[in-house]
Amino acid sequence: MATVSSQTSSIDSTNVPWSDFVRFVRQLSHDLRNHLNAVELQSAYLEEVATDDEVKSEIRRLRQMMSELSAVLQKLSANVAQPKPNVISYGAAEFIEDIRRKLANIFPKEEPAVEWDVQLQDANLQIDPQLVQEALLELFGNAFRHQLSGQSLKASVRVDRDSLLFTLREPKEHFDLSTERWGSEPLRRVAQGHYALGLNRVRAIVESHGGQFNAQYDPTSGVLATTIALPVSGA
Amino acid sequence: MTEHRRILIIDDERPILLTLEALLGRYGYQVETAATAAAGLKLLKTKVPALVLLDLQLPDAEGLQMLDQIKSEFPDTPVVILTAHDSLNNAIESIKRGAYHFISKPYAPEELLSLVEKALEKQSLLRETAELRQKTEQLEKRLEIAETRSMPIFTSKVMQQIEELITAMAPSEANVLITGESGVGKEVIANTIHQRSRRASKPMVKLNCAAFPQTMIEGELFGYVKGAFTGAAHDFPGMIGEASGSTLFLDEISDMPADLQTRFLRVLQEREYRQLGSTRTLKADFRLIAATNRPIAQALAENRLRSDLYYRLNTFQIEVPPLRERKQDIPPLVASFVKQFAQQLGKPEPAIAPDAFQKLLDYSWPGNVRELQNAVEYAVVLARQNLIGVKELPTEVQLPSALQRTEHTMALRSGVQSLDDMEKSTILQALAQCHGNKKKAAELLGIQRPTLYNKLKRYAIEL
Repeated sequence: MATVSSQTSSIDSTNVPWSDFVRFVRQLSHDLRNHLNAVELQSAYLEEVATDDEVKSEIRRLRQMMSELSAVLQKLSANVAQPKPNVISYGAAEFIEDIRRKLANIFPKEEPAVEWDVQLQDANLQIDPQLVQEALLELFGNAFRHQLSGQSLKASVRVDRDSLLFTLREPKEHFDLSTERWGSEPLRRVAQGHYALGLNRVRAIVESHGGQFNAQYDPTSGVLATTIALPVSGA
Repeated sequence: MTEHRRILIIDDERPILLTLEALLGRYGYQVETAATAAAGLKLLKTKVPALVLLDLQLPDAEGLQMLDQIKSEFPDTPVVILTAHDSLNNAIESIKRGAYHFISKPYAPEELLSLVEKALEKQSLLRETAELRQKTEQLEKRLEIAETRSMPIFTSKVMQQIEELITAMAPSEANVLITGESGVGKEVIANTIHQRSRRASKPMVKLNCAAFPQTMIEGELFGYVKGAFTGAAHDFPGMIGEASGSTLFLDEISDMPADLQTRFLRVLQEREYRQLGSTRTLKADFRLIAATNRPIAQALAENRLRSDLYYRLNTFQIEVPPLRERKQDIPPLVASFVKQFAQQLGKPEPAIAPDAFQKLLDYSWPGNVRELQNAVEYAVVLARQNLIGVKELPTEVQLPSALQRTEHTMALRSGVQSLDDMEKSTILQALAQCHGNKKKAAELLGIQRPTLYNKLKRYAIEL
């Protein structure tokens, strides 16, 4: 199993090892969720005792907000954690079929714009299908979020020798980021509602399966190609 | 693979189903999967698993509704809710509706495994508790039967008076003599006295003086030390010693040898005794309840019961009347015995047909309550379609009352009788022997059938 290079790097200013930072984030997230749970339980109680329908409805909205906050924290914890794949043998075609169904379910508007090119034989993957699915969903989610050109995304899947190659091509008129250490530099480009942990999580998941993750921008064609290579056990 | 490790996963996402199946399979669980609520319910109905992992979002049903259905049809099966949404609202709602726990995706395998293990452990404990509860209920029923058996059942006034007397004197240390025909319930009365006494914490010790050869009663009663006589291979404390701090019930005391009665009388007076073969004097600390089925006057007249022992025993005397003299007690006794035997046989309590019940009321019950108990047991065993009819009663009970022989009537026949009485008695005896068949009775008596009819008319024998 490959090691995520970013996990051995240091946080610049304080020189805190990444592993300590992960522990800190997970503990903080855990503590905050505990408090949120307490607040949530209290508001559940208030909802029970409230007699006014409007008040009840408002409390329900409040509870929904707290649930979402709790979900963000949980996702944060999951994103920084080292993935522990529960590997099983899984048909590559079935895996792609699952991901397409999932995309249609989660992104019903965006998914039809994806052009698929699937060339798979009877290849089998040794993967944790939930984790790898999570990684691919993250890539698609990012692409849908940043897809401003109105052009289609192209997803190709094929088996090349002993690897399954999944490539997602996003048309981008401009792209000024380096793709050299793609997904290895978490927390570099934090924005509102965006913690730059997603790609790091994708890389960690892929590498925990013995795969490779990289990206390359071609200024000529104006396409950012992100590729995941996963070992296959039979083709 | 035991049934107790069977897990059903209901989730529409194939990666989750397969991953969980593989993960749980690796830890020795037998996993079945269903991608829809309908398929899940079908599997549940085929073979109930020990645990269900249920996704809250299914293509053909709302997870919470599915949970309701599972808890309604399979209330003992724990359900762990799986959901992609970390909504405490859902968690609370699931728990309210009976889910064992709630786990949100993505879950750590360790977390899920731990939860599954805990759920199955709880399930196992619940199953064990249910089994123990069932056993306890069975034992309680048996205890209730035993207690019912040992408590007098009556509605008659005479038995109510006896009950009042027992209530009044049971807490005292006074000796009690219980008399009454065989089977009237003398031991039941003795048990009741003991249970209401201050000595009730220890079991009553019973010795039936008629059940032992006369030579052995002494050793049984007083006990002996090793080597006291041939065959005394070890020390034996005797019933007096066993009854220390409790009650000694001597049944059929008039069958106790006369010399032993003298020795026992001394124990009652001095409250001390010695075991056979021992020189050590021991304290006798028992309350005495004695019983006899012989009429006291007769036992005293025949010297079967020493008068000085009788006076010592007779602090309180309870004369239990025969059942034929308190027929009001028959219905509650019958009801109690029917319940008791139906439970013992694992049958529903049969009803008693009115004509059969009348037979039970009409019969003279020479064997008293014990005979009634045996008759009801016989009837409950034979009862068909949950009904006791006349045919299910013992033959003796089925006979017309005129043909029934009782110890009571036999007793009246002792002494010189008139020729008419003897003839009537012989006719009745023949009819009883032939179960009321007049043709056979006439043959047995060596007379013509019309002659028998004439005699029946003459002696006002109605069948």
